[in-house]
Amino acid sequence: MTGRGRFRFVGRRLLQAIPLTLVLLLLVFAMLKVVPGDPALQVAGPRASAATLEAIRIHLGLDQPVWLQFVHYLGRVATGDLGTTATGSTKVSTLIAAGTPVTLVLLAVSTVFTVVIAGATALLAARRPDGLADRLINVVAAFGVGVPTFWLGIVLLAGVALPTGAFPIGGWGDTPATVLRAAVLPALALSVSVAPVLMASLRSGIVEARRSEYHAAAQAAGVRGWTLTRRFVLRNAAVPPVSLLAALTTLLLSGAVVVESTFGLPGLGLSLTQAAQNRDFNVIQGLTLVFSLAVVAVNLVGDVLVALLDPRVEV
Amino acid sequence: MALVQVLGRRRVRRGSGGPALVIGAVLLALLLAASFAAGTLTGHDPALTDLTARFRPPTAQHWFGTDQLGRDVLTRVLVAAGTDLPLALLGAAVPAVIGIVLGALAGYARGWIGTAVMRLADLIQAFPSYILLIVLVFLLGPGGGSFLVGAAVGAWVTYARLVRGVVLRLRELDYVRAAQAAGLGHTRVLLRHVLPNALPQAVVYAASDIVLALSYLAALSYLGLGIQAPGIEWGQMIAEGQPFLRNQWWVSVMPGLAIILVGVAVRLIAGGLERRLQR
Amino acid sequence: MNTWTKPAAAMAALAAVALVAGCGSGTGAAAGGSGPAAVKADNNLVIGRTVAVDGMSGDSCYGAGSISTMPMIYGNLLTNKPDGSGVQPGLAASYDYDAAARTYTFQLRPDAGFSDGSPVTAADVAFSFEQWRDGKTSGSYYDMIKSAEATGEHTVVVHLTRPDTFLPALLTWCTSTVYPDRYAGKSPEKFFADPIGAGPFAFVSWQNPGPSETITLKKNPHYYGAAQGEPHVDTVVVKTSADAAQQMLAFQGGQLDLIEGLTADEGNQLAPEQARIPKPSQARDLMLNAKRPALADVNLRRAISAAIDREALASVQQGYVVPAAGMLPTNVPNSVPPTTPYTYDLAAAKALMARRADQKPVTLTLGFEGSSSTLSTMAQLLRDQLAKIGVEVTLKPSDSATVYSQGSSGDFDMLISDLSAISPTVFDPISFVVAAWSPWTGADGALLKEKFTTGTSSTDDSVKDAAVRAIQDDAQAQSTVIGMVNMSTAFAVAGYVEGFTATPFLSWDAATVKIRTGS
Repeated sequence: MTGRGRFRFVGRRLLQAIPLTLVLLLLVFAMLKVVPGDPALQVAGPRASAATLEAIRIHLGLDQPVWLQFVHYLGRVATGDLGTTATGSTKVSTLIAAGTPVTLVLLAVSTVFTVVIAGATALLAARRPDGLADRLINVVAAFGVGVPTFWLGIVLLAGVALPTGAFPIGGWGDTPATVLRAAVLPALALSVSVAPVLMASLRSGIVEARRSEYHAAAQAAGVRGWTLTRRFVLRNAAVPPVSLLAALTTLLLSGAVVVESTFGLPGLGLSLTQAAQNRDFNVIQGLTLVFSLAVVAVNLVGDVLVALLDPRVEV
Repeated sequence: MALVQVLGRRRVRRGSGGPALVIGAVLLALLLAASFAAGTLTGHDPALTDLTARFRPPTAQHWFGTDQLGRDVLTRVLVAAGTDLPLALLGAAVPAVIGIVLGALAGYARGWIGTAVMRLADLIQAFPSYILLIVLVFLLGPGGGSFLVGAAVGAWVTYARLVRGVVLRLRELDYVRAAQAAGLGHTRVLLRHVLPNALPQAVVYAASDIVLALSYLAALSYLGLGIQAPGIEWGQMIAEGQPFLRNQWWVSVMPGLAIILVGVAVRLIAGGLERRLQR
Repeated sequence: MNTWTKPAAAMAALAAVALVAGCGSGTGAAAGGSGPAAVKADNNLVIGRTVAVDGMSGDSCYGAGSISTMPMIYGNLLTNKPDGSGVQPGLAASYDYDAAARTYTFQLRPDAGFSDGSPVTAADVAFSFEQWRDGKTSGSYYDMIKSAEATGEHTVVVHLTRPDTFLPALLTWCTSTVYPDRYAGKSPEKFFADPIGAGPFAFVSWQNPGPSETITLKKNPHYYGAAQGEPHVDTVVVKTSADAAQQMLAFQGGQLDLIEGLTADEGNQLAPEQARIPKPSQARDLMLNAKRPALADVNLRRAISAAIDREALASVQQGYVVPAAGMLPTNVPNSVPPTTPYTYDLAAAKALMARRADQKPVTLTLGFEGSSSTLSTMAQLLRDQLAKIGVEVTLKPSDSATVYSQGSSGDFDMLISDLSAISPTVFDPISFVVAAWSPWTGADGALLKEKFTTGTSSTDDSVKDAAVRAIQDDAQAQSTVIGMVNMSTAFAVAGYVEGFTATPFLSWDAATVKIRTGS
């Protein structure tokens, strides 16, 4: 693909994301209309008079036509105003700003773990397809997928963090070192369920790559060992997983929500769970928006990456 | 869901997939059967509180011990299977059926219907499945029904894409064209040609989706958003037993092992089915 | 694939063994710094709790989180004696009540200072009295206050609207937070974002407000106890987490020095010397909504009360809970039981059921805070007990805020809620019944209000006791608020923490706490 072609592909993909984003916003906005309960009542409290309620309704713009309310909602979202939590003590945007780094660090460490675990096991498994190692790894992978993440989290806390004292039992850190230490066990719990997916994809990628003509040619040209693996096997084997990027991200995000609750990490996932438990509407709405926009963004990046990595992708 | 697309596609040497399939199916069937006869099998009432028999460790009388209310944990683990397994099976099957129908629709109906279905699929995929589930449970209130709706809304996309792909491929094939030319209706073409081609992969997806559905259901209940007491469910049991993890570990460890057992059984079935259907 | 099954089975067995071993090992003996030899590396007190604060203003104080935190930051004119027997001097060195003139005169300590270094003066205290009285949320508790004036540098005179002997207890509450005059020149919003107080600790930060917040405080060098070396610890860090079980593990792992609001479920996982259990002084009551058609019949309400096996409810929280005799907390001054204590009588309950005007089957919802394991256990037991008289109960777990809003909006059949004294007088919990529970449940509050006024305007203990007994008996007759058990609000305390005294009032004196650092 030519440079210009790539540029055009990226541009077109970006344009495609715009209507999707708008529909997402509409959907999240519509949640407000579906949820039982009067939002004005939520603001005013149960003992408010009818006059107070009406005043709040006008203040919140609830007396206006729905489409205009949506336009106002877009305006508020654009300026980062997502309302406050149910108790009114915190802005939702502040909550999101505070939780995002936690979730991002958790996702980053989990990604590293996932890639390392999946890469190592895939190489091992692909060495001799259907060999003993391959089968054993497949069994372990099945366990990894089957173990409930939250349960594994509890077991890691009680069985590893408590006896060794090497990791905090729940909670986050405040310096880079303590943050990383706090992220290890949750990231491990999360990777255990996601790594098998990447491992299976990588394994078949490696097996295919080994069978390919490139590989044979390279071998014939005298390329050996790690160079061969790296340049001719892994590079080609990486293409299918990259196209899985979006799927892996949603899996990781889903897992992060669970793991953050189990380990008490003050990230976006814990906020989401607590908001669902406390029926805190603004927080749910704000977080749904953030999560879905993140997935749209990751899909976008994933598609672009595939286009750049794989010369065979037609654009 | 992504998990299955990859995990389901292992190519091991072809052979009889029989034993794995049989063992897995028998395991699940036994568990399900045991859940209905739990009280008779163990001789205990799953809901009967006995405050004189709290926190008995596993013994011959109580294989899995008793919980904070003196209830027999084994009986409760078995009874919970009757909640978890059907919900997990439905949580995988309902989206599969919806996805197959919508996918076929999208493949056949060119024009706006097809476009609409696929755009809807794009939209759904923008939500991580578990987050979509939490949001829907938030809107609908906790419970098994909300879980099923959440699972259905989130998981049909994979099947729709699969079936649509098959339809698009098949409709260009000579024999389908011939069938259509011979006056066979869309429905019959769908039943005779499209479904048999798409089904194997769909079944493999669905089988693996059971594991995911189960872990989501358990996670929701663990957080108090799924099945609530007096309903008996593995995730809810784990949550109830968690305060006692240090000294009475059996209360929350046993239901966790049950979930793993189901995971293994379903993996056996999925692997076996794949082999059988791909032959 | 057929070769797959054997390793799978082996793995399953292995995993099971490993997990069981992992969880079962460890006795918790070494954990949490137990034993007299234990030391901690730093002089910072890390506290765990499950309830977030309600805000930084005293006016918003409602829950256990704020009740414990507000006094640390702001300080009070009077404080509770740790044994619960009465009040003792705080920022005020002494006070006088003049019943005839309807005034209280407070003499302030000259050595008290706010965390910004300015001294605590009469003007600050007079300003604070006005803030409490005019508070949006808690102002109604202070309606006996007409005005407060500074008559000297350290003398404040409070004029009352009516005779009142309740004020000294009220001044120990978390709502009676002493502020600098005119919020030190700031707007209330700015002030409460970075508050200044005269308590033992100064506010540093409040991160991530909500269910998983962290509050950090540091030593206030101008605290009036500074001459005695108080407070002893350098920093207080309060870590809130909704997950009590995880907090327990963190304590056992030495990552928390103290846990507030310890219940039997967690406490029984600890070594005995780590749990500090004051006398039970928190009533766990069942509210019945008399505005609901079925529950409008007093026979059903009394039948429910008679069908509750309080011994059984208490037995699952052995050591932390006793069966209730009346609806009010025990072990608080002037708390007397009703004339006849509650008795478990299934036959009487069934007879009462038969006497209902409407003999339709009864199905009632039971609201409670689901995240508490002791509450969930109790709700399940209650469900079993009421089934015996043919009352079918649907459990409705939710969070504490929802339980509160269900109560205040009257949207409930039955609701479990706790009634605690936060100061040494039983009229403190009664004031809450007067203001909230009685109207929520649709009870007839006439007698309750009358006896409350009688009790809080007298200085005579026999008059007070008689009023309380009448209130207990009235509650039993109406049965809209039914006592079930009385609980201790216990603490988990690490072995290297010294000078900690558990009080029955949810708050405790953080200034006296020392950490043995080994140096």
